[in-house]
Amino acid sequence: MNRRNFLKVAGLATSAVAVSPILLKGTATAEAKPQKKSYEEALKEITGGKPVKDSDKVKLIAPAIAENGAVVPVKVTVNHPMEEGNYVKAIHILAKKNFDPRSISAHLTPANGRAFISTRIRLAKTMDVVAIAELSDGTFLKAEKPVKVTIGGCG
Amino acid sequence: MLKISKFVIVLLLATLSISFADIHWITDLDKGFKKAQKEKKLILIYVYSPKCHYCKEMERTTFKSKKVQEMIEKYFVPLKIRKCSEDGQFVKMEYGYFGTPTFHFLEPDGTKIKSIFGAWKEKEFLKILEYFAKGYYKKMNMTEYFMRD
Repeated sequence: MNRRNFLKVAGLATSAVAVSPILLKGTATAEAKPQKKSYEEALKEITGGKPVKDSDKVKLIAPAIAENGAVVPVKVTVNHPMEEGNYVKAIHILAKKNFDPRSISAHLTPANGRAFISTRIRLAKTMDVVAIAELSDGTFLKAEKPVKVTIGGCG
Repeated sequence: MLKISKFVIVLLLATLSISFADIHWITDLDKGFKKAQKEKKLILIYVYSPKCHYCKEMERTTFKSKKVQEMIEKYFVPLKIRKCSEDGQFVKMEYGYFGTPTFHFLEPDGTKIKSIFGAWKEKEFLKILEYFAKGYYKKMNMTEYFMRD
């Protein structure tokens, strides 16, 4: 390649690099923005509109006062068999007043042996935390607990 | 008639003095530490900033609660330290800083037990105070304590 050709190719390459972000705008970048949802909407996504019964089979353990709303420990145990055809299919945790109330969905199988999860969730403010157990027969059970966090602070 | 008016004024003033009663904050770190050692009380350091909205909010509400005042006066030596003061800088270096308000709970000898960030409503702040005042902090961590409820 002679000097003239090299300069032509280099010039074209530079132009292509400079122009590509404009041409590719909206195609190459992910533009998924977080969606604000109500608790009812989030619940419907999980249950498909089926009723959810309060049940003491679902044990939700969370602090009544969380010293740090960014990492609130939550444990859920469902007192239900874990055998073929009759098991807890999933445990969902929702934080009612969060921007998106769905905090976690843990999918289980009988191989898990026990319907139990332990995690940490973020709470934007004081609110109720809800644990939903999705059973293999398509029914839903739930337990709720209010968790208080600081009303705020300055940086 | 004059007697009744005087009585009403006195009653009004008494009511106002009660409702505007405040926690007896100590603003000198050395003085507070000495008092705590002498009285063998836990130390509560309230780190504030005059421009902090949530500090003002707590001072206007939670700290005006009679129950909160009684609990603090009974079990703690309360220190109110301005974030940017010399004492504030020392507290920041020694016990950490998370923003305002920050509450440091210390043993009478100044050993840190725990720090808590943020403003709290009366009911929650009372429960937090109780965790330290009643000595639960010696048996379990704060999360475990509040998980029991």
